[in-house]
Amino acid sequence: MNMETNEKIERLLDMIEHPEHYTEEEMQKILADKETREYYDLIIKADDAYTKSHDVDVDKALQEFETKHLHHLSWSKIAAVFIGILLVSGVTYAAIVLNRNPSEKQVSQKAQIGRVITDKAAKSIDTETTDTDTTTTQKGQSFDNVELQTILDDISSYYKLKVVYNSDKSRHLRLHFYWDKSKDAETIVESLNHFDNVNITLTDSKIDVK
Amino acid sequence: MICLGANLQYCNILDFIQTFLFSWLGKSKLIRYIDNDSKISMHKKEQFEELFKNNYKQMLRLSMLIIKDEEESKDIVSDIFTEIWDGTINPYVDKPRNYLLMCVRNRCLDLLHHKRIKERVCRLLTLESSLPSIAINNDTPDMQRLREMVDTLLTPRDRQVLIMKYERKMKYREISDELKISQVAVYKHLSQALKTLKANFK
Repeated sequence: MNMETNEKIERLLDMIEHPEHYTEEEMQKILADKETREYYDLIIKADDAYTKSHDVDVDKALQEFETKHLHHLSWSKIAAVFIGILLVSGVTYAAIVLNRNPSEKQVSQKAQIGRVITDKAAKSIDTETTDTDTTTTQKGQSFDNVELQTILDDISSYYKLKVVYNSDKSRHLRLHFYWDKSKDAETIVESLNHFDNVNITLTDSKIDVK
Repeated sequence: MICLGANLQYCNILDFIQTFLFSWLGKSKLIRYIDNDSKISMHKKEQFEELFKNNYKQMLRLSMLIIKDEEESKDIVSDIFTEIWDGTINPYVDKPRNYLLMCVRNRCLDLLHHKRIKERVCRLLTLESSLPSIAINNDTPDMQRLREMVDTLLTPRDRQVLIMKYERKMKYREISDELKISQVAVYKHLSQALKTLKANFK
């Protein structure tokens, strides 16, 4: 192609400015021309000659490099780390052992739901049991954070009494109470009355809860 | 164990243990070996750091000149230093600076080689597969001569357009707006500037 130098230069400048208008092959062809190529190199030189280089912070670069690459541990440091780990795990273990508190009360306090624990003295078929649901003798029942309502349900059915509630508030009172089944109803009611906010009266056939 | 209060900092504990180790076991041959080993690594580290400090800047500048991308340049230089540290390359020869710059140049050209022509033209990257000489920065005599010629040989208008294009990196549209001339005129001035420079830059 016998183009004028001016045309060549302008086409080159256009190609550099708008590369999207040319395909890879077209560019290769254009740059195959010797003169065009020489002008391309000149343009690069001009671009380089006027490009300001920014300052390089060598110390910072060195620091970044070292943090990334220098995982260099001398043997003594490795030994020190190992002993340190042993010490720390020793202290942790000691802390755990000293802090352990085997109280069931704490465990049950965590749960908002109350638990009823039944003591089983012996497992045997006993003619004394009157409750048709059970087949074991029971010394007593422990109520942990159980609602008064539930407690009295059990107690009333055992002693064959009705329960009357005069207020809703008292039904949902939560108590920790140990029910000794060998005791009679009056004693149990008296024990229950020791609790704040619990006011129970016992008549022949019913338990009256205020 | 209990006497180590919770206030002791991490490094203090390590230092304490390290001194403990050395003072109690210092007589043992094994410890002398370990101590020696750390002495050698100290020397190796110092030597490396000196090499880094003396050459990093020039290496980065050369890379930037060839591939014109800061991130890629940093990667190339960083890779070279990693290989030095790992022992893959040994730059501790008669003239380490030349060796390192050759490394940079070769890797940069490798990188360019994989780029398509279009991308290279886009970013005004060299099309050569080998550069005739190593320019570390743009303050070489060659570059200075070019700038002198721009100042002395070009018409004021031609010079102005060239400076706007290559120093201020402006687009044609921006140049035409600022100088209040057509874009075609901008092209014409720039071509003329290049023609003049080429004629004189032999």
